[in-house]
Amino acid sequence: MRKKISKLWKKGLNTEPEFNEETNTEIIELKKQDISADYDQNLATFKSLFSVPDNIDVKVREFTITTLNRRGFIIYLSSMVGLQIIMDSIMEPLLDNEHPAKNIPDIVSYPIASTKKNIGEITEFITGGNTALFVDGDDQCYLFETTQISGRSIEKSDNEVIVKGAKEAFNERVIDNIALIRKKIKNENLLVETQTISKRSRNNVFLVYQKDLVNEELLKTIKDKLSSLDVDSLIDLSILEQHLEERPRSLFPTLLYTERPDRASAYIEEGHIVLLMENSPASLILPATFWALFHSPEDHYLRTPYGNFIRFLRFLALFVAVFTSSIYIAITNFHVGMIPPDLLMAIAGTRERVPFPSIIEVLMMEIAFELIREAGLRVPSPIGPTIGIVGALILGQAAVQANIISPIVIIVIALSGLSSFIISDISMNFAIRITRFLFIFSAGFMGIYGVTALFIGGLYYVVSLKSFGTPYFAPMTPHSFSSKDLLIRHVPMVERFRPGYLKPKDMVKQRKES
Amino acid sequence: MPKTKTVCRIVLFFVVVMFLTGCWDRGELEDKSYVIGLGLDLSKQEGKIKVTMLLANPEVGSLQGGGGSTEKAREIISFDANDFIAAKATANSVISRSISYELLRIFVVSEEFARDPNFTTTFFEVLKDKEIRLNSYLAISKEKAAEYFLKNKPRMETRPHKYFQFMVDHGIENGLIPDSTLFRYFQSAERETDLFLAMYTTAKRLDNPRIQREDEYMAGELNATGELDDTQFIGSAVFKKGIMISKLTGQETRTVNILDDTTNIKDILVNLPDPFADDDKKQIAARIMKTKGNKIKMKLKGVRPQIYITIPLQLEIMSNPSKANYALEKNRQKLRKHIADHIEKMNEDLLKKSQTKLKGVPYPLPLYAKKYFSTIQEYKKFNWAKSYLRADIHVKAEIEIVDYGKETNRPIKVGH
Repeated sequence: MRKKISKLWKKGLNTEPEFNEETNTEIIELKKQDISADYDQNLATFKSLFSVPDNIDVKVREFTITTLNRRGFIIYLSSMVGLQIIMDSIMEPLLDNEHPAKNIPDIVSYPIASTKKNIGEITEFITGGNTALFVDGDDQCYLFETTQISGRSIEKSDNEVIVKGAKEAFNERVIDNIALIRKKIKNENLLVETQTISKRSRNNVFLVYQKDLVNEELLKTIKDKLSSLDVDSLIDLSILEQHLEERPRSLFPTLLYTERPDRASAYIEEGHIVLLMENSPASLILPATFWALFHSPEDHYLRTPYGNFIRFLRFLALFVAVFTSSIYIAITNFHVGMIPPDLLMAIAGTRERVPFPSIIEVLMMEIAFELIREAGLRVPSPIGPTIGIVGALILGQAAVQANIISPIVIIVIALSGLSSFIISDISMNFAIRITRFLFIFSAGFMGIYGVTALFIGGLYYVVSLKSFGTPYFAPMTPHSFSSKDLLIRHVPMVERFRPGYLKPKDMVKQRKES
Repeated sequence: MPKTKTVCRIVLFFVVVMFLTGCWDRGELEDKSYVIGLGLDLSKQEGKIKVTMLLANPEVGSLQGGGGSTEKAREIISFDANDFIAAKATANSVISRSISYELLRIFVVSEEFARDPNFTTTFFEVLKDKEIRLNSYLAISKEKAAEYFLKNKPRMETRPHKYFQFMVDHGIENGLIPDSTLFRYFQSAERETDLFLAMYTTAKRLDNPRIQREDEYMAGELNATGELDDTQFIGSAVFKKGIMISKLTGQETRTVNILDDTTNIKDILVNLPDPFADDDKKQIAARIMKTKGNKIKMKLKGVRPQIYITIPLQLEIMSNPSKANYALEKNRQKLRKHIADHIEKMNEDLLKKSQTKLKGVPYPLPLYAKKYFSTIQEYKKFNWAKSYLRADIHVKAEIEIVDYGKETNRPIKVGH
């Protein structure tokens, strides 16, 4: 009975109508077939598949191969290929070759070539920028990798800025991105595997890992997860990130999204797996822990004391960003005796003419700060952020003079706002900023008790998070063997082990000198 | 469904925990009026007390620039009440904001009220109010507390909380007033074996005070003239079982502070008799520093208990009126011996006074006696309060002179 009711209930809640795809079984069937040896049939097939006269950048060129004296045609997408390459390396040998030869590979000396028979596969290659050559009487098609897409060159990293260390960042071309990683890891065990994850757009994802380090089980989990995706189109790595996460609605990120190839390769060297995608100027590192999101590559580039200094600063900033506003509210509303009399008098004196309760005051300023920050981000010029911060301060000054906000609140908000910038990972940054609001509410509700209760509850939650089976705070808790690069880092000579939670094939990074 | 059940339980748990907490007393801090000093006097009506509140105005003196207020820095209100906790509500008929004791720094009780046998019953209410913190100070005023607050008009410190903070902190550092927090008061009142010292203060100067040595004054006896506030903090009031019984001068208070390891005196400046002077009038200035704790040994078994106290002190000689040559080891020894004798005598005089006149030790000495007994019952049977009165107390001063001061140009040979 109960089951029945809940079933009915669920049915009633589900308002999504059922959609049926308009049938294109014909084309699907066609794609499963192989090409024929008949020239005209092939020509007709591909012309209809690519709707040739209507589709303006699909080029079909028919000609006669002089040496073989057979008819042939090439088909390619003019917007995705290097036309000069086709002219020089494919067309010219086919038309002007004077030496006797029997096979196409003997005539066309293009370096990257393959042969395919299946119509569906050939279509995929053509859409990827390859040039397909069909020869009369041949039941296979010759494919030449002529892809040449224009895009950004390798530029400086914009979002993860560091002072000391490599500056280059990933760009939208996956070939460049793989090259950037290969440049840092010169090892034949570095594998770049590809997997198609969406059905309609056929987006590829590239798995990059060290074959002799990565844990097979982890690799299998990730591959299974990728192949289980059933979507038409997945255009960006950041969308893939949301598909892969265990808890996509959680405040806290569980995958590391970075645009720095040095960071990606450092993680590959530890046994992590890196995902790359065409058109995404970043990489996705999995599994990721809290520490991975909290650290910055510069921690390791700087000398040990300096690296630890900025880590402590960052740790402090984390707490300042989360707790300053809430503790201000808690103390001024509930625990007045906690602050020194002078400060209390100063706060009380400045709040004398402010019309709102302090929680409204703080919320107003926090929201204003977030608005200015978001607006500054969207101002279409590099001086945008500067204007944003200056604007915030001027706004604050004016608000104080108009007796809407007390000056202490400006200090509190500015401090917590600026501290939040120190957490460089964008997802973590958002997580911190949103938790801050939760803490403000709990402080306004129950004072320090509320803040503590939420903190403890939040800690329980965060500890329970997992990223591909790795606990969020590993290897600190649950404890596992590692080189203990958590809150403080040691000198590089002491960090001799790869993280134990990954179960890498080789735990030891550096053998001890005997 | 077990899952729903667990979730329900967890939610219930949190709701219950929320109601158990006492954090529902949210209030904006500018809604409150902060009492800095609380004065307690006997009321004309039997069984009532007169409460005086010194309230601070947060608007004055706390803003750097930007439109200073023309309001007064403080407000004082006195009225008769049953106790000083319900008095908060009564005060609201005069004061616009709700009264808060959270910044309460000092209790000023008139000597008259402190000597009243009912004082403890009224004063123990302090423990009931959760806003009052036990690290606030207890001071005894010579006049009525209501008058004291009115007459006390510091010229340099407009903000009352700052005035009391500085006055009390520096007084304790100099050793002229005792560190009389409420915490110590209640501890001593509950132990009943030792006496408690509260700081003694007055806002009325005596008309023709006698000129004495630098620390032998009581509050009000120092003849300071000029443009100044008449309030003086020096000396102490002695409490036995929570009720005032006697007074000690500044010098005696200092001696107790040196004997007492639980207070934090810094270095104190004193005058000591000069051993090389021809007459008694010449005195040398010295800085006394106490860096190590006292060594206390007791023999409590006999008829007359024996108490041995060793006081290690470091001294810096700062003046040399008789121009003695301190480079000579002989002179140094003489000086050291002389100072040790002087300090020993001062301490023994005080302890004698405590045995005969005060009938109790004015600092927590009985705590050291406890370790000589294996059980609490034995200790109780020993009855410290009575046994102390017939104890033999031997004080030994271990003087170490770390600095003899600057060598004067022409030392006159003395002491041959």
